[in-house]
Amino acid sequence: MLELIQSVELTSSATSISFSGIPTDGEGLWIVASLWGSSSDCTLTINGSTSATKKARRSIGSASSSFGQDTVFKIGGLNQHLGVAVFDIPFYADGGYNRAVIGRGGSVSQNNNDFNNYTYIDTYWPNANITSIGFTNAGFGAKSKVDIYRKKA
Amino acid sequence: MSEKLIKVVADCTTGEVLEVELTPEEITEHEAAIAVMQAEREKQAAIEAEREAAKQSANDKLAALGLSPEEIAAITGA
Repeated sequence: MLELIQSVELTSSATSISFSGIPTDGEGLWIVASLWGSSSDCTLTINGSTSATKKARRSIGSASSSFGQDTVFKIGGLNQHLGVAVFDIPFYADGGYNRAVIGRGGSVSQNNNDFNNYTYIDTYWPNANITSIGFTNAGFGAKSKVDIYRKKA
Repeated sequence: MSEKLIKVVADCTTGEVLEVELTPEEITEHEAAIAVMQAEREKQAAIEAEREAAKQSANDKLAALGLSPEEIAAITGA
């Protein structure tokens, strides 16, 4: 079961969004990032670190996107496209967490609707409670939104 | 830059969402990050163009050897 914890809409003047007070109970988190018209790389950070999310950074929504490569996380595309990424972050009993990109989608015209291509990345971080999550970008566009859900049994 | 740049800070505990104007230092950092991203994008575009050119060159050479487009596609997976 997914419970919506926080939903934030972004304006084009926003350069970053950060979430604090992340719930660490439950089975984990889902983060759904729907970013419109970004013409730049978007970086997901967990606990203020980009390296901690290295394996979860993917190129999404741009013509040159290449899912599966450990490249910069782009979302939104270069031509005012909507890019969507879903991150699955399961929690473990020791407080650690894992990260995975479980789906991505870009513009229909670019045939990037690959939400059926679920990809789990094994990047388990033991004993590392999540205290913050953030996205940084050069500009999120006017229709961008980030939703955080808590996974519960 | 006429538009005031902001950062959004959300507290999942209270649900409070704040929009905070960037400081001059943060704007400088932001602009530097954009420059880095632009450079990276140009680098990636150059790599992509080089790869495409190499692919085309290889296909042209195969065609010059007498392979049909279907045969080229069969061995290159294109």
